[in-house]
Amino acid sequence: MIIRSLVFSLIAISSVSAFAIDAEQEFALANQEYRLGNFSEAISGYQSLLERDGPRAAVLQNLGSAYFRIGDNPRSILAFERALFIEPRNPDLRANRSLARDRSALFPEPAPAGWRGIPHRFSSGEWARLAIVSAIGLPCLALIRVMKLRRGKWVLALVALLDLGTLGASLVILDQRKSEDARAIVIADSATVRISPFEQADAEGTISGGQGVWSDRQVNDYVWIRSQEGGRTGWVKRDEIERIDVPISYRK
Amino acid sequence: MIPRSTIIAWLFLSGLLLAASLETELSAPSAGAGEGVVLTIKVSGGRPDGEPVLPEIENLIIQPRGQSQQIRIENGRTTRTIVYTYVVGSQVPGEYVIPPITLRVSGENVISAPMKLSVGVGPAGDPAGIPDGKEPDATPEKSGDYGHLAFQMLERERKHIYPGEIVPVRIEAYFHANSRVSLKGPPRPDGNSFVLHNLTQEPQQTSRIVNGQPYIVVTWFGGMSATKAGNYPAGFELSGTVAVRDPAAVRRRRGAFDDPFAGGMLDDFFAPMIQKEVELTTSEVPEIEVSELPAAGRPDDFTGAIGQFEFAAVEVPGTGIAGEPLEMAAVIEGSGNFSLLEQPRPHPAGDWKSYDGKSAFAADDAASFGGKKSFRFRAVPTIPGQRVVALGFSYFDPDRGEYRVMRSDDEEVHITGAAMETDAAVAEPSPDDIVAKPSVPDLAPLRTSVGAVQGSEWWLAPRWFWTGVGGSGAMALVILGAGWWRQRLADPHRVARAEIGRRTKEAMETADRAAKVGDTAGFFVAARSALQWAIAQQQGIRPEAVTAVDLGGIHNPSVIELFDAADRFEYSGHAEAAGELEQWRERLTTALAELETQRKGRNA
Repeated sequence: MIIRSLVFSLIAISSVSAFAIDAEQEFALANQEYRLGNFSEAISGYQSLLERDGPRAAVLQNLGSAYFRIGDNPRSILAFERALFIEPRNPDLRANRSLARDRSALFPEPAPAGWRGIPHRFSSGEWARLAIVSAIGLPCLALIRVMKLRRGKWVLALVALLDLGTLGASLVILDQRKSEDARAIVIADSATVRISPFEQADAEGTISGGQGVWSDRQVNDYVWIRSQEGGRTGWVKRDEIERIDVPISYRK
Repeated sequence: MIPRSTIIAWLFLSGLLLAASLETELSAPSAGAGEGVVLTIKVSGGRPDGEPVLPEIENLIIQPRGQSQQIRIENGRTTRTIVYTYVVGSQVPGEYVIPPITLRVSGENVISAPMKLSVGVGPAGDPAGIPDGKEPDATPEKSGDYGHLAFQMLERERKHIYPGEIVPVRIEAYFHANSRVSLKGPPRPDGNSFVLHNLTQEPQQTSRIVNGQPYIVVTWFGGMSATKAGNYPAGFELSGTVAVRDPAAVRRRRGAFDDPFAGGMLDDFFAPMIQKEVELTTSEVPEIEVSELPAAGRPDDFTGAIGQFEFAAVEVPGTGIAGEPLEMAAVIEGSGNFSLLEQPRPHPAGDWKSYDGKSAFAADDAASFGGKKSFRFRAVPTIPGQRVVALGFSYFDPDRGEYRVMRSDDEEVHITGAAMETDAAVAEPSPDDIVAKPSVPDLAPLRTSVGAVQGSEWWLAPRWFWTGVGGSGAMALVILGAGWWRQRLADPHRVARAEIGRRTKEAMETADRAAKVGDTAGFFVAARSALQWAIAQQQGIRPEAVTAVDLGGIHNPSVIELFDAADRFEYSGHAEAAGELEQWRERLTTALAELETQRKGRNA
């Protein structure tokens, strides 16, 4: 029985290891294609890795670079935005995104200053981890409290308050970050904004590729959007925009 | 030496040449009822203080169609002319005089000449299908019995239109004067060949006699455009609910009375209403030729804009750096299909690389034929040096039937830095190249380690996450609760109280047993023990320390009496009768109850 369990564990570990080795090899192959200037092949390699395993910041960053090389600025910006979703503080990703936006002649996005920028400095995963750690800290602090401390009661109270505050703030930020799920990038060269969700409706204007929009409800093949710059609202074709939050196909 | 009179004459003539002028022109001196002619007002020699104010003339309809600007350079002298365009017409035949129009231009008043317009009966004034003057006999059954729909292009002299061009149209719905109408929406094209734009939100409503019958006429004005070249029927449809009095019922009532003086308003009043959901369609559908835009002479930067357009303003920075974007802006005004008018491009094209920016449109009129479209975009200069740049765009003028290329005035821009490599100059990387040589500003280096898959931690799944958070919170509460309970159990005061209560109860039980069997000694020993425990709890002292001296503060005669009796028995050994022991037992119970009451009262 024990031997059987050991054997199964070894098989599982080796499978995971093999899986990791495969991913590294595939990634290296795609990088090789990139260095040789075969950007389309590199893009295919990165895409298949994402489809197979799920989102990885490194793969998304290199995918964005490959799109940048072939001049597809909107998809490049989209890949960088997705990578920043995972690693919001990565300076390379921020620089690459700025470069792609500059090349698309988009105005720089003003970053929220001071404490307002704190929610955006961490990814949703990091805030969730912080919330879990704070939550686990609560019973630990309670255990310490009931152990009849004679000294440091005030310190314990302060730590407990801090822990509760951290937990509360993390949960609030996670709730607010849900709206981030509605962010999308225009992946067409320019998306026509119409007043109604059908082809013959009057056009109100266009939104250039690479610009960010907030997406809402969907009717037929059209999605209601509000552009991040200028607040223009209207209907655009569904296939002209793509949401930043990692698509379901990337998730397991 | 030039004579003074010659100089004065020359100055006077120059003044005349440079003075502001106002010209007005009608495209035709006459039109049919319901038809329109184009009125143009041209202002030269200065900028007007405002738009012309046209007089209100009864039965004459004047609709603005926007404004444009023409610039003409002759012998080095630039003349700027602003043109205002209107469509003028009337539903009522007659002779109309448009009085002189006064406009203030560069500080002086200029006055136009009066104009005359004759409006006769239009060749298509009455829609086809409307019956002649007799009242209908039968109950109306078909949609056409309830109303009629007619359509007309306002520029009747136009033989064809172009795909994407917006032409003004008028659509009229005729209903019997005694009907009640509820429309489900505005008219819409029948088919996919045409699209309606900017139809008037509140249509005009008038009364008209057609073939001797009174009708209510509802009129919409708007723009129509074709989606592709070809010959297409321009049909429209309109949905609504119409209620009319049943003419057959009216006739039956008159026949029943057989009275030549019967009939009239009262009969109509009592006739039943017939209501029907109707779908009106244009009965005589004209076929409109949609001509393909000419291929010859089409500029490379033509994007489909059709109408008349002109630059109103241009903004180009004076300095820049090669390879870095500059922000440019332009405002284009005129009339036409602004939706297909794209941003102007900098010229010469080889010196610049421009990118799509933002645009905004402001209409000049309710139908949005005329207006201004503003653009703001970025362009990257590729060649350094003292450069000259102009913005340009092209459009198709349907009135002239030709493409027009518009260029703004040349602007000087000083560009510093090194020349940018164009895409054609970048060589193909050879297969032996291990490191790519980027021809564009550098991205961060490629990442070489694939890293972990994001979101793969099982505990980040919402179900487990909220279970963890909620469970930890609940556990913390349980631990705190358990700790509080344990603390309560270990409370020395509480423990002491519990012990005293137990001892008191034990002593009381011993006293009871002693009293039953007549054990006087045992009774008084137990009674004193119970009282000592009770007093010790009340006063917070040890029970063995309670003596008769401590009873002074109790103020309880029963307690004192019991203590005295216990002492007397202990020292004298005199036994009491069993019957009296029962009484002593009752006193003991009373004394203990009073002590408990005193203790509770003190604690409260």
